[in-house]
Amino acid sequence: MTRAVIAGIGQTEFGSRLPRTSWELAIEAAIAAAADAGIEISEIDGVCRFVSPFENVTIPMVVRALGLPELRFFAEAPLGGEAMGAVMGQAAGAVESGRASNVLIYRSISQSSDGRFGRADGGVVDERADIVAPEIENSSYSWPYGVMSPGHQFAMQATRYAHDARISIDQLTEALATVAVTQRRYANGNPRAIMRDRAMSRDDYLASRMITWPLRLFDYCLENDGAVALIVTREGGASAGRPVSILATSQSLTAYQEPLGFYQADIGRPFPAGVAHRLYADAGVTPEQIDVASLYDACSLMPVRSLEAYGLADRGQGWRHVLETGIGLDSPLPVNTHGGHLSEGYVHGMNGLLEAVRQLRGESSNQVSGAAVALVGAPGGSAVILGE
Amino acid sequence: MRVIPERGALGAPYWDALREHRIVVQECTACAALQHPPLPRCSHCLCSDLGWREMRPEGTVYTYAVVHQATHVAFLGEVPYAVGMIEIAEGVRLVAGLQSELSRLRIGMPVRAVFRDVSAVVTLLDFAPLPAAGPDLI
Repeated sequence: MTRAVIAGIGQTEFGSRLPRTSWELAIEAAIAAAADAGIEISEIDGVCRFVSPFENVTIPMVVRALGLPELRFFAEAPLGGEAMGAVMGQAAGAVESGRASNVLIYRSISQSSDGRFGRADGGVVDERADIVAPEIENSSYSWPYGVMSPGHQFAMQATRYAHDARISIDQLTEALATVAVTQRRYANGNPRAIMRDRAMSRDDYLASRMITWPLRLFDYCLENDGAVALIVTREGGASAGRPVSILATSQSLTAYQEPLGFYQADIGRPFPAGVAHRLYADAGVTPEQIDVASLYDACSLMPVRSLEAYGLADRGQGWRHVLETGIGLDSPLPVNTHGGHLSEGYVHGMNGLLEAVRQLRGESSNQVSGAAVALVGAPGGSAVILGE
Repeated sequence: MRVIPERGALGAPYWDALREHRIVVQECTACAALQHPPLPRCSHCLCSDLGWREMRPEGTVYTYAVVHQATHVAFLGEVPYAVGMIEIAEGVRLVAGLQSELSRLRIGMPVRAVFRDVSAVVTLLDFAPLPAAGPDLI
């Protein structure tokens, strides 16, 4: 079977209140990705994206703005950050089956104009009127209690995580501080990172204000504008650049994983163990062969849980792995070397994918020496394994 | 401004019971499985004959968090407030407010229901520590 590769990547700057629409950002990233892949824009014949309301730039908007002659494949995936593995799987499947030759994937975000993901009151116009929490997606059972945002879910997961791991909240906080501080250090070495010039010490972390206990400001990701794009094609299909192989993709959905995961039988397990086994088997690698990982981090707890869920640390020991083995460049498995959502910027997991590509090309600002296999993993079992 | 629940097609009996200061959970009449939030059919045996079982107004804290920075203007005046998931029966958990001294909260602590009438037609469900079972007495 012909293997799908990532032939090119592109991105815009990341920042707050960029003076461009998400549409313009998406187009800029797409043009950069095509140039990096060495293809003409007109050669794009497939497009995949996250669904609205996460991605506000529709596929027809992209086709119009880029003047594409015709798409013969297009698809989209639901569920926010869990769409990453899905769109990659769609694109890889399309080129491997011959349904498309050059598939564009993009993610463009403009939280300064389209609303902040961390807020729940984006649509409020009249502060005297009551809000009715709809029954659909179980909102009526949580919103009236002030449980309205992903950050509330993360905090409840954190409290339970500490309980299940038999550690104190203070011990958990030390591990989360290590994640936040290590990722900030990576960002300080990454000229693309929003936090490139802002150092953060453990004391800075501990002094940051509590948002939803047990999580502080610096446990939560940035909210920003910016876009990334990539081109998926067949091995040998693109002329320029250095293609990176898509060894495997995964997606997973279990009852109550969405929305917000409150009613999962075991909220300590983000997704079934079989997902990681399947992913590694499909890729033909073992967890020990992963040289570098981008682990989705809407909050600092997520990489800790993902280390466990993807078999990179024992269950209940992710916190210990972070504290004792570490995730820095001097550790056996550097994590989020771009700075992650906490410190590079938030592009819904897709900027972690670009960092994995840069690592395998040897082009990262925080290069892991000899990196040959990379894992990009989101908490819902949405993942990609890339190889040189 | 308040955030009030829709009395939706599936959950109407749940909200009507809360109004009467009772907790009910959807129950399959065929296999007796409980499910919350309610679903169109029993997700275990796919039977469509669903009823409602009244639960004891108590449970244990499965997890909790304390919101210090409101993410919605409706809760600006409420912070800090505690919220949690309360396990009221094997496998049945409810999102609820927690009325407690924040420092007393612990996972696993027994709690009792506190029915909060927020309007003439809406009652919300909070939980509070059982007086005799707080960790300060252990």
